[in-house]
Amino acid sequence: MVGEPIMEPERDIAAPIRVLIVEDSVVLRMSVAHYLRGIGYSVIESGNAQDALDVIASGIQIDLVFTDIDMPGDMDGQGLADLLAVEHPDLPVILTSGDRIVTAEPASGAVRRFLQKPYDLLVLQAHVEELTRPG
Amino acid sequence: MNQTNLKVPPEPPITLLLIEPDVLARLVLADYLRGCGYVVLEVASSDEALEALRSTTEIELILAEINDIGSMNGFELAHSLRVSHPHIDVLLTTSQTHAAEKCHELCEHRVVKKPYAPQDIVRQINLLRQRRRTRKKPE
Repeated sequence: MVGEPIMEPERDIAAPIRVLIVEDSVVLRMSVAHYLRGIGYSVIESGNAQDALDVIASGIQIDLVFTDIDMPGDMDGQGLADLLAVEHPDLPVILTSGDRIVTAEPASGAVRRFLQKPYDLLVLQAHVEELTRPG
Repeated sequence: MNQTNLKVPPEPPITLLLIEPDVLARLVLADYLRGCGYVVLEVASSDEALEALRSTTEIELILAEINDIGSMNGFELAHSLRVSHPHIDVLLTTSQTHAAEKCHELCEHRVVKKPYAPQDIVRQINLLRQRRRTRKKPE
């Protein structure tokens, strides 16, 4: 209707916070997903960047992306994070890698963190809690 | 002692491994099954499934798409598991019309045709569990 403000869909506050894990190591992915589910998060698992983009494009509410950097395929985790910083600047991203250390912040001001592998799940939990805290 | 006061320990949740290459189909079914009380491990391929099987002994049931799931298709994986992991039940899914008949000829693994409702999967899982329990009963 003309003149009516376009409303952004509001987050369902009763729904659990949803984390998208992008990790090609299946055992690590399952283990992290199991841990986060155990402390109350809803978790979507993806083994590569393209699947992650398909999930985001489907319109499913995602509150945080936790992605490995070194992954097979056309896009690695760094590329995914850079794309999300442009297309979804409000979506916080935590990057992880055993080889690389990422310190550069995205130009758009999107929220980005880095977690060196091997990481402590409690440290990951702290990052997720902080980045998904309302307000 | 009053029988009704006896506390029966609840059965531990069944851990199942879901093999589905389509991430969106996988997450919808996995969410539904978790809502039904199952512990669901998710993988996209038979290769990832074999890796998962090496890392955990908790998997009791595998739910696998037949086609395009990596170096082994669903049939091959089911046959292989019958030897290596005979305690694991396998439920196959497919959109192929004749796959159910083919599967029936080859083995006793069950096939659920796509598109299916998630409830169909739960029904088939329950049937498989029931069959296994019946087999386990001492004579």
